[in-house]
Amino acid sequence: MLKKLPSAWRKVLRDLWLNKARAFLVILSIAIGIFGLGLVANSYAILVREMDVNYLRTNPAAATLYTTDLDDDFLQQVKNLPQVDEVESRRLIIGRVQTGENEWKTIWLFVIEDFGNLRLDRFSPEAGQYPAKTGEILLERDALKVANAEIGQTLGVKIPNATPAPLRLVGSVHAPGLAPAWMENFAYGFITRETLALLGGDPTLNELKVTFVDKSLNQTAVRSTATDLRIWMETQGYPVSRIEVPKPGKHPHATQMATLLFLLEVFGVIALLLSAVLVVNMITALLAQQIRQIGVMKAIGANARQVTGIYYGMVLILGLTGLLVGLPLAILAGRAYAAFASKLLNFQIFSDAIPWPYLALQVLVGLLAPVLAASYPILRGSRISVREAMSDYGISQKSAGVSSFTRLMRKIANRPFVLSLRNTFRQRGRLLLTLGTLAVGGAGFIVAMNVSASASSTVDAEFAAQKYDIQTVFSFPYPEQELEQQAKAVAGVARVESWGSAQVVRVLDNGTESNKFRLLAPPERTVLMTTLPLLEGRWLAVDDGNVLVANHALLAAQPDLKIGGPITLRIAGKETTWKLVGVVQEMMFPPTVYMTKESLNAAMGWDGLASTLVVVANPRDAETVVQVSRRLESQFAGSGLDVYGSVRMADYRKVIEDHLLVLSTFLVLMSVLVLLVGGLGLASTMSINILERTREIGVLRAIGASSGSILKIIVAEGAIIGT
Amino acid sequence: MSMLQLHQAKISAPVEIARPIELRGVGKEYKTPAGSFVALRGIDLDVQPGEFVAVIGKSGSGKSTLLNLLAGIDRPTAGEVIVNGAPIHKFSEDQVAVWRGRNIGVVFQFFQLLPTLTVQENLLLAMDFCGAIPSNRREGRASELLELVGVADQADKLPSALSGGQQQRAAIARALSNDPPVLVADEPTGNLDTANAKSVLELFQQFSQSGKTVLMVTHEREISQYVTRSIRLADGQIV
Repeated sequence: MLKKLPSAWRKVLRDLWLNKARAFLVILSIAIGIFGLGLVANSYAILVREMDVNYLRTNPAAATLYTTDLDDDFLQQVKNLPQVDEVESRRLIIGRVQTGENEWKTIWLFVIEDFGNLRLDRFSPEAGQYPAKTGEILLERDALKVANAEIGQTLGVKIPNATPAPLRLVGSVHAPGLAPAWMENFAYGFITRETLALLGGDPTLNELKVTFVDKSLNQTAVRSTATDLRIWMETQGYPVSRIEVPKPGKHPHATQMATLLFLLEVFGVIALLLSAVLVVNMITALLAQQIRQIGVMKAIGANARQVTGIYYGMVLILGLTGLLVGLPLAILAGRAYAAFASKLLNFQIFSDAIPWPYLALQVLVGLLAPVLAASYPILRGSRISVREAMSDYGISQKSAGVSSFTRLMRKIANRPFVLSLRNTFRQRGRLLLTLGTLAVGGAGFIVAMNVSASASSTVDAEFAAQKYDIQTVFSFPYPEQELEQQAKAVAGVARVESWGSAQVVRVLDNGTESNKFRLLAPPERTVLMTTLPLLEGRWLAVDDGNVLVANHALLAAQPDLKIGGPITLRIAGKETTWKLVGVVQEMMFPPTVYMTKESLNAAMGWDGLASTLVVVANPRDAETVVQVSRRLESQFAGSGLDVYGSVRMADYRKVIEDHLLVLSTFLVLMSVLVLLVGGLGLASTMSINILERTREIGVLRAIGASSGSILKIIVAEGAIIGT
Repeated sequence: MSMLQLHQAKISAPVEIARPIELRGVGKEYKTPAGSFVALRGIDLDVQPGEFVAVIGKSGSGKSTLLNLLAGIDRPTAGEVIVNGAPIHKFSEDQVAVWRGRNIGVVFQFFQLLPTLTVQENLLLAMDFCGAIPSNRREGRASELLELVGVADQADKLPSALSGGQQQRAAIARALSNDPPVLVADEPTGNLDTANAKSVLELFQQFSQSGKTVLMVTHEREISQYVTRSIRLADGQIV
């Protein structure tokens, strides 16, 4: 078969075969580069497309207006307004679902008017029966695990101010527009109005979801259009208490996905760059051996084009082979990563097809990048004159003389070490490439390690600041004396504090309101919460007056907030103005503001009321905490205290840590890949340096160097590069 | 069939041209970190077709430099180098390469066969590069040339499997691949034993008798029976 090829191609193939190890390294480098690039490009292509598909299939509401009992006639009137495109009425009740004996999880219950005619914020049947009838419930597919439930079983569900009632779990749905249940650590359920009545709730629908005709509006414009709608609704006798406006067209998980993709991009680009450097190095090495042969070929009549043709052919073969290895792996890995991210963010991949421009890009890079990387050494090698080629041993003609540095070294080090040192710096360009590769590889590794370490230390600091084991929130404010006495009566409770808490909104300057967020108010002399990790400003103090601290999640949602600036909150219907004095960091916490309980009660005119209890168990081991939390549930239920939600901090921490683990494992894997490329770079440089000097090593031997002392010189050289 | 006849069948006599080799006031100076070094000065040389010229002299006398200038491997710093009527000192590196392939066969002291090609493929590559021989005749010509130099049975081996003498014969066959009128050889016998050296010299003698011009740098003492002329170099000058 080889016989049929022109002699130049036979030479290319045999040269590659002769340098199997090095050719393999080049192919590996190209494959790694393509893998890095392809992984990013392919998963990006799939994820961005599929996330949009998922999100648009839900037909997300542009705004939700909270009002009173909506009826079909009024909905039709709203729909007839010129700026309104589509409307639907809903109700959201935050209740609790029983997940075990005295074990409850928070559940968001979406009350649906007509399961057969979802128009906005849609979801789709996933498993079991659909729709749910009276006395039945559907859970979001990702919430099944959170609720520890299986389709077909009966769930105890309780809404505030009512007794628990059994509902049959008949099926699951997929609602990709909601934040993943596992991340929130609560469940999503879907029920009819009749079922809500059965649970003891008010079966009217109070949420008006709308989309507007103009789809190009930004968040502020949507908010002002929604405010116009509110004014009109109020003239029609429908008071609006609140307007929620999500970022238009932006999936609620878009930020998380951007983070996941960014990590990927960084390492993909690093891998691509490093592999390009490595390819340059390797091709230089292959050519270094060929310099004399280039001279011979020119001497027997080859012109520069024929010589470059041979080596470009060689590089193309390497590129093609690298591509054949790297591309399928990149496609597999890109799909796997897309599947992983979509599972994490709870959306469905309908098609994992990779668009052809992405594949074409990878093929182009796989073939072109090695050719470009090899161009400098190839062109330089092919321009070399026959005479230079025939006498080339890789030693620069322009030798720089002995520097003062090496003269100094000569005084303090022995002669063989000075040789290592000079050898290291003999090919400065190659040295720089290798140093660059190692440095970037090392930096990538350190960055990955730092990100993982700082994430887990932030979590540590955050949980260290919260010195309690269980946090229970009640549906209404109760006298704090009563709450504390009830808790203290439970066996295993060592310490109790009663805190203020509420769901609040910020009133903006133009009279509109922000989305809802959480308020927590520990007493000013609390011993169960210390300063959270501060990003800016200060933490709360005694006699603080109307000041509060926000977490960075709130700042991310409302970037106009300024330290020292005013912030007006509507708490339980009452507007009060506060001063923002600090920003704290909390990993994966919802937007929250902190103030002292004294400040909250003073501003609200409450006296001795609290709606949250934080409890420390004794001993504080996991098993005791679980037992104590169950006893507390039973105690509160027995004394008629209405629990809105309760969480064990250890459970919460585990959710966060599981999430971080996934990320940090991924980071470490990617950085190992990058380090590997760096190591390949060092190996290749050393092998070229030695290869070019086999003759010199022979001379060293001839003047009496033992194998051991030659090895010492070489190892010292490697160590000098490495340091 | 005598060796000579065979070789005459394979190698065409060169078309009559003015002079195969013509050097006019050629000088060569190297710049080194230690200062400039004059390798050749004021060389005038004419070689006629069919001559077999030996260039002799001590190490460093400028023999190899002279040969490199003739083959277009190096360029003069002064004077003119005209080979087969072509002023090659004016050619670019690339023009020289193409010209060299068709006009000059180069034989090296260390043979310099390409290590990953078989002996026959080494010849084919030279023909592929130049394109002077039609492609359907290249394999046949390679076999004939290898036969001529007496290594036809080694055609499909890699150079490393051959003895030094066999490698040099193969290298000579390669130098003849494109049927050049001039052959230059840089100490072609320097690495060979007496018997092999003798047969290489005999080959060159036959080529010159058939009309080729051969110029050989050598250290060999007993060459008078083969060559038509000897030029002695000392300190870069013909003496």
